[in-house]
Amino acid sequence: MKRIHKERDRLLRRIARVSGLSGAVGSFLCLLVPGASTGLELMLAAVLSAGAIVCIILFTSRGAIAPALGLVACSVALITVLGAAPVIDPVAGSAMAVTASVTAASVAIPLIVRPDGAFMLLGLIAAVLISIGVVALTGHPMQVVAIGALMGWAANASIGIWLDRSIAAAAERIQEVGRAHEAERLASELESQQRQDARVLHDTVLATLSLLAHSGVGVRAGALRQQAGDDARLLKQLRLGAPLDRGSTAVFSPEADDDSLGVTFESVRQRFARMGLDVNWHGAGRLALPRDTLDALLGALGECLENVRRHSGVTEADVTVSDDERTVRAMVTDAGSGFEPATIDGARLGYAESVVGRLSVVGGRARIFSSPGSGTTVMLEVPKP
Amino acid sequence: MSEHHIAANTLGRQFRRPSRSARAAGDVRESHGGRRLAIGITIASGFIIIGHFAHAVTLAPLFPPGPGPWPAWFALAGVVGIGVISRMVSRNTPLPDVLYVVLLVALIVPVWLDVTASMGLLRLGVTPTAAAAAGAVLMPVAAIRGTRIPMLVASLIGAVIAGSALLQVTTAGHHTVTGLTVAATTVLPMVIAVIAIGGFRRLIRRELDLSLVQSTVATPRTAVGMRASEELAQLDFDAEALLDDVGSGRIAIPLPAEAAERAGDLAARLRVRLIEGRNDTWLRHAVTESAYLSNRVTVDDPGGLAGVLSPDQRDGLLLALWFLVGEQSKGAAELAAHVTCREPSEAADPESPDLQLSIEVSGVVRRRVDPATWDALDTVGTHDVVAGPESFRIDIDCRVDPNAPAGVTAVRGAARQRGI
Repeated sequence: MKRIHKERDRLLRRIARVSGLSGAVGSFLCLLVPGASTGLELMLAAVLSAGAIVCIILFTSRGAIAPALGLVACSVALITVLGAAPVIDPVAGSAMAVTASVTAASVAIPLIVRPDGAFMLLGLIAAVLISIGVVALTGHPMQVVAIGALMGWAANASIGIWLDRSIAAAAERIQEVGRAHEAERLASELESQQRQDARVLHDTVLATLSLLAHSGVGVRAGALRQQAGDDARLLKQLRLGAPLDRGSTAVFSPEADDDSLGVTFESVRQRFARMGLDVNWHGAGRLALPRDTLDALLGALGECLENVRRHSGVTEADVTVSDDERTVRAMVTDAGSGFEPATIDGARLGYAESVVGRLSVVGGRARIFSSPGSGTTVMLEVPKP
Repeated sequence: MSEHHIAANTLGRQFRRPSRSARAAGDVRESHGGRRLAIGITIASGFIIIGHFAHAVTLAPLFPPGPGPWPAWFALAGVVGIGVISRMVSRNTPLPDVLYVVLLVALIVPVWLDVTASMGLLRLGVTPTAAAAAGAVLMPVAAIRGTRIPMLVASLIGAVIAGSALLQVTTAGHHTVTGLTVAATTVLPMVIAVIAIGGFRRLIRRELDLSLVQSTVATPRTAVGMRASEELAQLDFDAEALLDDVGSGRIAIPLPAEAAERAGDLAARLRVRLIEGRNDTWLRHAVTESAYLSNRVTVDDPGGLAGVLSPDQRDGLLLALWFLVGEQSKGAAELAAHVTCREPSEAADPESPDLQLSIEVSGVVRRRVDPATWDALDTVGTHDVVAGPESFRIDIDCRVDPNAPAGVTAVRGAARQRGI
């Protein structure tokens, strides 16, 4: 059974419970009016009302058919008991009308949505009308009770039918909205995946933005302008989703199989050359690394070089790449001012997140060797596949 | 199409996304289904009005010579007629508030005519009928406009009828009960209609919430979420604009202080956006984005392990959480679920599960849990329940197919049968 049908039935049963209980309690309260009914009559009515209430609670908490039939049976019995009196008191008449049109009719709301609901309902209302008819045959005026019964059953059945239809229509529409939303989400997820994957591009963008944040001091205006223009063009390509020509813009995400560390590194070297830091490249030029590992290593390398450019006070740095069976190592060395590693808070965003964080995602690590006045060496390690 | 145009379109589409879903959601509640419910309630109120009219016919001979109950019925027909005609004329735009208020106030006329005509006749069993029908007239109004004012007006009419019955208690004797019954039948249909309308709206809101949240099931292993993804796109776009301005010389070098500050701010936010979200998974987004789960479910999954679950397993887990805490409306305050995702300690053992989930549920006893929860959990993995006095814990051992791609393509994802 579909979940939404369960929800629908729960709602229908809740309405039936409110309606049925107010009917059963209301009609019994009528009979409590002094002088309205004899002792035996009142006792039977009390038993039948209690039976009706139990049936309503059972029916509306589980939805089984038997208590619904029991409720109608109790109602029919109550009408017959009250109708058996030689003279029907107006109070008893009201109780009969309420029983027929509210108490018994409450089962119509959940039952009508069943596949066989219409027939079942016709049978049940026929039973109620027959009991009213039997009382009428004994000479009592029963039009009002009959009218009330028809009115109550018809109104309840139509609420049930149309509630079912409106939920079905809404469910269909909810499905459509859900599917559309899912497609939107996947598209947006894919898009942000592409953006996050373009990590090398973002590294140069971040580096350029950092330069601009310092008003571009210390870099030639022409070089900075060209760098900014290049980055803007790449961002635009990324935004438009245009195929990126990897030959000329190797700074974009490199593929593991046909790109080497050396080729991609060349763009990093050029970037720092423009900003006034000469980077010398030593060691292996071609390393087969998975793409995310390569991205992480290059990103961390770029951050280290940026630190050299900003803090070391020299215009030259060396990068040495070596590997064994298990790891690839990149060593960034400068002969600058150096610092005492213990005095630097390891949690500072720049180093902790952009170097250590990047590498640890791919299972690598970073170590710093430095002391004031004797330069700095950062060792970056990533595992081989 | 010019490049500029494409750019504007691409960007424009991205940022309309959430509001579009939101609008479609409101649309479902208001027009699809909501209109049908209004039709159903109108039909029900029609039956009730016919019933009261038939009652009036049976009572008419008991009235003293004169117009009997009919002036009130004509007045009621007049008010309803004006309402229906102006509704048909205005078609899709809602009725102006002034007309709405005038029509509600005009209901005083049939109620007053009916109560005065039947006054003093309750000893014969004569009760107001058109006044009771006026209560039923308000049912469709409640379905189209808010439920509160029609409910109030119907209660007032019921009170007037009850009051007129009580005023005649000395002459009417036991017939007073008949009058009070009529007063009750004026209000009861309205109560039923209000419960039906409120229940329907609530049901649609919840279903919609679940349906939107279920879209997380098809996302890749790690997901950044819709908000974050749009923010990233916006940051990229802002950076592009700034860099382009610098590159083309529109901003001078060295940069003015304002532009430099903007660059620093962009860099800081971009850095955070690019680094964060690596361990965020569909589960966290589903819980955050759902109005019903977000304040009851907490997720403890530092390694983003929930991401390895297959779409079917995710769907099962989401539904189970929904059944456990999303659906219960009573005692909402203490209801809570805490989901923990852990890798088993002896991961090398081929017999051990790939992922261990545990759901700590408090605020609901185990036997009150919807049986559908266990069916949903069956698709996630093998589970057993550890019961406590106030709460219980569900431990789930999941097996994950390492070869199955965690994310599916948009087309397959959308075509997949959703758990409903």
